Amino acid sequence: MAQKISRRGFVKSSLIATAAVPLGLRGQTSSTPATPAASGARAASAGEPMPMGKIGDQEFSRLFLGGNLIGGWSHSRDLDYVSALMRHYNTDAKIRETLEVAEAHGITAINTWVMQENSHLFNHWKAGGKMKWFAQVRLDAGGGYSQIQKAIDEGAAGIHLTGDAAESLLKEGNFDKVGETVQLIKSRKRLAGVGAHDLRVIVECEKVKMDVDFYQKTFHSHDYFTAPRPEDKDPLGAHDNSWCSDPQAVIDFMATVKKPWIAFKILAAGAVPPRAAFPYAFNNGADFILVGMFDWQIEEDAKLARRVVSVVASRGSKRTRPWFA
Amino acid sequence: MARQISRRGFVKSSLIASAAAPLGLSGQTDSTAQTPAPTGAPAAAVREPLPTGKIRDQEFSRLIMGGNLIGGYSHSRDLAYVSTLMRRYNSDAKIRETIELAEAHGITAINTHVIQENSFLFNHWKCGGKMKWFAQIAPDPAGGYSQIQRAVDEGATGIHINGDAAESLLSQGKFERVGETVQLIKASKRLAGVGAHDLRIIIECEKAKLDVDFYQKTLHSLDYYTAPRPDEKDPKGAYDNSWCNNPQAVIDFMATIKKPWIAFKILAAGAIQPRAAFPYAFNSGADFILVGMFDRQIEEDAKLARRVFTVVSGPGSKRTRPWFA
Repeated sequence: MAQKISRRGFVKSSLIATAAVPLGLRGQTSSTPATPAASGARAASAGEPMPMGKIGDQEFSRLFLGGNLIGGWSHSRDLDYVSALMRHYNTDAKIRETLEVAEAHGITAINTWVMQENSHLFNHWKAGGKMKWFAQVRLDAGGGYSQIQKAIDEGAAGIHLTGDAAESLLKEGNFDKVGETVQLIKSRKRLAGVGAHDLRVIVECEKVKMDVDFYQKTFHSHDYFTAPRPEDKDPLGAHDNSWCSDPQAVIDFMATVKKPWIAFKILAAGAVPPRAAFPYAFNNGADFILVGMFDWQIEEDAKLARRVVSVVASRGSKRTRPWFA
Repeated sequence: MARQISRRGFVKSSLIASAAAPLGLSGQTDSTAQTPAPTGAPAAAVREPLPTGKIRDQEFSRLIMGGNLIGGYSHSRDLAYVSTLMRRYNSDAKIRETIELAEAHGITAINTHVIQENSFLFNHWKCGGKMKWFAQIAPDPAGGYSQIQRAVDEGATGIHINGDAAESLLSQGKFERVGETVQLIKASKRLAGVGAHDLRIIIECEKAKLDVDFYQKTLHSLDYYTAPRPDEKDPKGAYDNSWCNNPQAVIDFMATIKKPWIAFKILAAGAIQPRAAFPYAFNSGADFILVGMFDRQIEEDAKLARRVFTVVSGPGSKRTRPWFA
């Protein structure tokens, strides 16, 4: 490893420290008073800083940690066994280690669904970790917003409706409810976003001038074997194989959008290598990239993100969209 | 688990026992004098037998364990990370646990490449395990057969040139060397086989009347998303996605073959569910199926193999090829 971080020692001590305390519900937002980190566990020693960007008044690393690998959502096409393999590999201890490694390498935010098992994050906070949390939410079956309240109570810094939830509301003609989620999140002084696989969700948000703090929109090329075939036109691939049906349309529309853009699924769930995906995303306008990573991938991905942002942010860059974060 | 086998206790004791002993080279062949298994570690306590078949004078379970998941050869199409994930999940201890679990569920043979890390198997034998070994080999770059000698020395029961090597010899016009491997293996009193992805290998073997003890030939349907596209005609998919380009041709030709047939890649490396693949293989004429399995999949796959074999060998079966083992 290029930088010698004492992560093993940290993880060990922090896991021991957290074993004795109940699940934490303490947040990492800058809008609410931060509870001091539990004593007895040190935060990971400072790693090499990542390039940062601002959403609202808060700074985040331009590389976010995704939550799918932790949750076991592999999106592995017809290879069903991979999700189970992920879940078996990512034990509680391994997930904690992954978080600490990410933080040590300068990643300051993670995105997970509020309803998944997030105790690893709460324990990370209790042990002194500072990773900020973007929580995905969906509407309750009856249309309520209890997941937003749960995300607030549990300490999310940013909250956004998931793509599938927003797309479902659009399809049902209930798009006004997307606006309601944004209003509610903002009224609680959290960063409010909208997630989308389907570009029409972002187009609609812009049309109604929704006061979002950020958009989280899928973005990947189709330059991989399992990419959609010509007859597959849906926003989501029918075989768990695609999440961005028309990347050029996304580039073109996002060029007109003056809000921070967190690009996600940029690896097409593992099919596009980071060395291709990171420059593609930043060159085409993304302000942040959200990437699922196993523990062993973090160091290399963090190095790559630093190098790519450095090139894309310099003179002569291919990027034409201004940075909005 | 339906049956309570004391595998955790067994694995623990056997791992402790094996930690103190050097790498074992004691074989499991019936043709050579067997080195007694070391005492101090009991064999798996409970066995539920699987249906078995004979290759020459030796009996094997009709479900044979594959070595690709242990070796980390995932064949996961464009999802390159899966091989690393497999290798990281399958720690030395997990591999030992897997093999003990397989034996406890009645699996009596495993197939791995002779030059991959096989110490788990040698340790299994030292601790009293009885899993028999089919070793894949390839000719040396200079043309020698040192891998055959190594497989013999290390205790293989059966040895076969692998598909890649046989296909390479065929394309180089050196097919007589496939026959040499068979002769050499038989001279060492081991079961001699030939492996193939390309059906032409089996056809050539039959044409030359090679005195093989078994064939190991790929067989899978093309009924999965990542199967070859119409323009892809090669014996192996170009995207690590197929190993049997014309299953009907395989079924038709193997119907004329009077040697035991071990069918492999029957799941197309994870894309086809066992509940579809097992009946397909046995109904289509396979005498044995060779299946890569993680520890958690073994119990269910063994149960399925028992159930499918009962049906296929019963009255009203769809199978028309006689059993040759």
